[in-house]
Amino acid sequence: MYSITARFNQIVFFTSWTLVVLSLLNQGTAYFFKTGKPTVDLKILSVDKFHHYKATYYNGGATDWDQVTFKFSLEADFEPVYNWNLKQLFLYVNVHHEHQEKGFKSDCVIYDKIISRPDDPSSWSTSSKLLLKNQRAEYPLKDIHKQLRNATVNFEVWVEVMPYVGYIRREKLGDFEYKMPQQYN
Amino acid sequence: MAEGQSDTFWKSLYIYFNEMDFESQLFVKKIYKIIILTVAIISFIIAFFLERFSVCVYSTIGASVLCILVLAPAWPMWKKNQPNWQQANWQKQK
Repeated sequence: MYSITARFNQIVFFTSWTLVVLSLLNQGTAYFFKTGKPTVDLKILSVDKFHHYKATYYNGGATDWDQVTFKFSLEADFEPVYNWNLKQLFLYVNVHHEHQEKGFKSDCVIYDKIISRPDDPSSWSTSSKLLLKNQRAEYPLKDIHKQLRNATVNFEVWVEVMPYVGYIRREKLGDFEYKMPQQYN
Repeated sequence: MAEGQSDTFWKSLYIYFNEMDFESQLFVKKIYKIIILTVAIISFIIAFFLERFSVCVYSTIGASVLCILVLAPAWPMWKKNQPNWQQANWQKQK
């Protein structure tokens, strides 16, 4: 404390240490008073543009493939996950299907969305519901083994929870089965 | 500093803000911890019930800036208890 730089240094680093301790307390107390898993419901509304594409010079020329885009509706309620440590949620819809004879497993993300936390905690119970009606999926589902006709695919809804302080974790919220049409349309 | 030289304006300003009494140094050393810890604990509790952690962080940083402005430079209030220096006795050194 004998010089101005010594006093400045001690005050600044003491503040930094208290902020570190407070952040750890923030992360540690974030899960008090909150239990439960978010509920989600997904319905596939239509299957569009289920085509078979041939390999040409203009699309790589390597293999033929099947491609399909979906339209779905999704209802979700995230209120059990909202706490003061939450920064944003990353929601994505994953399609999982397996080759019928050989057993290859494929995953493909068809839709994703970033959900930020609303600032006012008194509005969390009303603004935590997500409702997507007739939503077109952003990315198509492609299969190079051409096994999508009459296949049973699994739609999984995942959410990635990103806090201000702490680990990022992924949770699977739901599993929905769907049978693909028999012919291309 | 050799004899015959005088300090520039900036150096004498630095020396002015640098020198602080010993008793004030003890006081400053005690009080900045008390101020920052009480502000941190109270604002953490308030922020817990408001569910916004940014309240806690901003108020702690604000309290530390206030401490730096008041406690780090040697304002006149920290120069009140000067130690009693003895008279310089140039005769004896020759």
